Amino acid sequence: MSLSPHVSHAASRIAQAVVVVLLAYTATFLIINVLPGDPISNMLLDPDNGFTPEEIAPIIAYYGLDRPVPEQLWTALSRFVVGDLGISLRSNLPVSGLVLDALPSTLTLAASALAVSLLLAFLIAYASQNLPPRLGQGLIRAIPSVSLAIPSFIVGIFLIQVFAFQFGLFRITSPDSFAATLFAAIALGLPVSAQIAEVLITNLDHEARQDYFAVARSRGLSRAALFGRHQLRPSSLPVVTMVALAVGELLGGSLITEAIFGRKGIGSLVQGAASTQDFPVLLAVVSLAAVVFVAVNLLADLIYPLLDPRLRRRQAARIPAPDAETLV
Amino acid sequence: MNADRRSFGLLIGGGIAALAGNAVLPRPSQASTAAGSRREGGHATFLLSSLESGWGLNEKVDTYTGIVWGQIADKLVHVDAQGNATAWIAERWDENPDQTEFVLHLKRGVTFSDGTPLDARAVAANIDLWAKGDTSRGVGRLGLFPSSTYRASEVIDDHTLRVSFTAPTLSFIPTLGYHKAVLRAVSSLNLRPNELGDLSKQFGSGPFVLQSWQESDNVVLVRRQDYNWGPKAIDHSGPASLERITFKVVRDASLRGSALQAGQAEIVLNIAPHELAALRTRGLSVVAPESLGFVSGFVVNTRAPHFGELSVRQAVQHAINRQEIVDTVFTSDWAPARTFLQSNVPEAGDFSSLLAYDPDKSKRLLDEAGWRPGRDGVRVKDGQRLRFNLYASPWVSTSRPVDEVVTQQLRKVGIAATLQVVDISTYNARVRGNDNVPLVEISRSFLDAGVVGNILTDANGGEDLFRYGQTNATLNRLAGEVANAVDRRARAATLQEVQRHVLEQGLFIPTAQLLQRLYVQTPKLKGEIYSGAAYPLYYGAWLEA
Repeated sequence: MSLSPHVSHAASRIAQAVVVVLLAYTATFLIINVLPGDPISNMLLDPDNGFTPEEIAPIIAYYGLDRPVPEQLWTALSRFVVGDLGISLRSNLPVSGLVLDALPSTLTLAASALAVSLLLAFLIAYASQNLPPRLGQGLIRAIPSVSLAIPSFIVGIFLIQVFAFQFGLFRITSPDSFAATLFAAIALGLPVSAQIAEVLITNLDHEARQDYFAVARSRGLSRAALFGRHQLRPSSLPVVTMVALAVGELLGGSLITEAIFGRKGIGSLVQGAASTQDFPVLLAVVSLAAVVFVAVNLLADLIYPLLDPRLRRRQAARIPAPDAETLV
Repeated sequence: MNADRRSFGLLIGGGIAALAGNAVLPRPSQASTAAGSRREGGHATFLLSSLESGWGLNEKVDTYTGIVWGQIADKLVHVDAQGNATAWIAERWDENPDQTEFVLHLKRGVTFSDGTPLDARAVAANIDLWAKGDTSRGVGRLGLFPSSTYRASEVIDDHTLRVSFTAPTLSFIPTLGYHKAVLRAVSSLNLRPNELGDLSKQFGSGPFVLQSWQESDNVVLVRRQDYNWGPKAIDHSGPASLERITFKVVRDASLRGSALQAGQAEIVLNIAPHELAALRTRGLSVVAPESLGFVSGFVVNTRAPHFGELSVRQAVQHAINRQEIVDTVFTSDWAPARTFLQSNVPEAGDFSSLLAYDPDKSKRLLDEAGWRPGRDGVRVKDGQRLRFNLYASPWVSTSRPVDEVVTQQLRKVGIAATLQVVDISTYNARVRGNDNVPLVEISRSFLDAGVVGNILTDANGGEDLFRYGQTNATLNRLAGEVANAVDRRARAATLQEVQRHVLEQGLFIPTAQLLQRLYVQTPKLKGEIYSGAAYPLYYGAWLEA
């Protein structure tokens, strides 16, 4: 019995995802081991402790960090494939618990930032098409470039200084409040909104030059219907790709935004782990990021046919959909 | 490097700080002025840059978590800024003349927050773990605890125990006030490796108990209603006055300062020196408790190229303008170093003359040793240039600016130091055990100057910071005398000799007073005290209305 093209395609992508995650895990493990030092020495050779290297050798041995790298990798991989992420060398807590504790905050921030960035991108794109030139259409079109040029940590500090400390709209000690999350989402989502807006404006301009757009306009369609049906919908395919790629950016950007807004999430978990070479945590987060990245791209692959009838026809003919990157 | 501009700005800032600090606010002491009447209740928010080290045993207690532990857990003694140990959980203690046996008499009725008694058995278990660690669970011993001479802890009765050592150990009692020597319930000591970092399973007997926490982000403490066994040094009894303390990580120092100004926090830790003046002018208090320990400075590796030569070490000693370092990098809260011990260490002497800034003397010493200026001004001898890499300490935020000034000062006498700024991993890999690195920065607090004896040689597991091993007869003798001292007065005399010898020989190059923990806080906070290592105790603190 043969599998349907959709199922077969999904199975193939999932198999690829497993390979990608294992490769990411192995590569991260090797990179960490190439770096100088080890996490135990980093933590204990603080001069305030007064330890000699000889004194910490038994602790390094306890964690198996004195064993050959291939042996350490094999042990770590064996545990990883059965779901054992190990113990954080820094905090002495199970890594799975640390990741699960941090994940909701990061997902909330990333989802909020994505929503903010889509809303802003849509508003900018809409204004770029429908605002009369004399009312600052050129200025609107320049917003994405300006937004991209401002680092998110500058935006974050500015928002905190003004809205938390001057206007008291949120407290830095309650970073998970609605207002604090909203401003953190703005700081994180602003550069992403600029990227999406740029792509969207380019595609909207392209659609506006097509014959079918002129025909539709000549039929007397309203401005909103014209924009929604004949400009936005065909322009949204690259936006889906952009969103898929932006997920990685949002997760990466959360590292800085979480630190600035004092949020406890995956970003701050990585920051703490990276500063101490807490490799069980780093490996878990890299694997998680790989899973998320692959899953989002898979999701994007599945959405394309819904937006573009040509892809549905290709899939029916068992022609695999193009990768996300080729559609940008 | 724009040192002149920096220097100008900081001089102005320092001037304002001096005016504000001296004219508006009193210079902070070890306890903030307890004027006004005590007020019950109130919530203090304390912002700090990290809670990364976790909540495990012994060595996992660092500067930041040590502040939290100081409120959750008690210690056997309290050590003040002058190094005096006073009663806390240990009501009193007896010492034998040889300083090898100590009998601790414990307060009665003390319990951990899990309800178990804080008795002799629990104290013995704590001391055993401090001394030995438990490598079967990956737990190291307590750094700076006199483990090398520790023999055993023996329970005499429920409230009395005997702690014995194989050799005189004068440092034992003061070490009990160390910020890492926190007393934990026996159940907390015996946690499995994957539970050690679970703060909800770590029980102390302190004036505050855990309400909630998020790993490496925040800890919320509430006062313990039945607490009544605070240290004798605090003039307060019964439960703490503050209802709640929230410790929250805010990594950016300027945001911590802004949050304090906006009234979103009551205390913040470690603000950059150049921001202190502005905070003072806004009416906030800067509390810079003196900390027992070494000053900021460099220990010299005598095995490093050229630094085996006495003339080179002495030239470096006199090429450093310590006043300029304070004026350029710090504020009036810092003082130039007068020896390699902090000025409040009882055994610290004033050896300013050995540290006098005298670049002409440095040049003369180098000339006489055959180090002649090359074409670029860097001195050369036998084809070797007098140059080395100077690594900024990744643990001390002010290390880099201090080292920038130091490299410029050394350059003026023909010594080329190249500043290297690296992270902790790289620092450990490049600096630790590397005999090519001549100057290694040190920042360490201690509660008993006996620690000094342990750095001089490698005898009895000594740190041998100057890398002589046991080949230097004077250091061998001095280390032995400090280690075997049974009388503090006699040991103080030896430590004076140690300071003179080490500074004369250019083995320790001090730079400035060490202020590891600097608190900026609302002037409404009253009644807190600080330990000899500058850790706060908020048991007696309250917030004015």
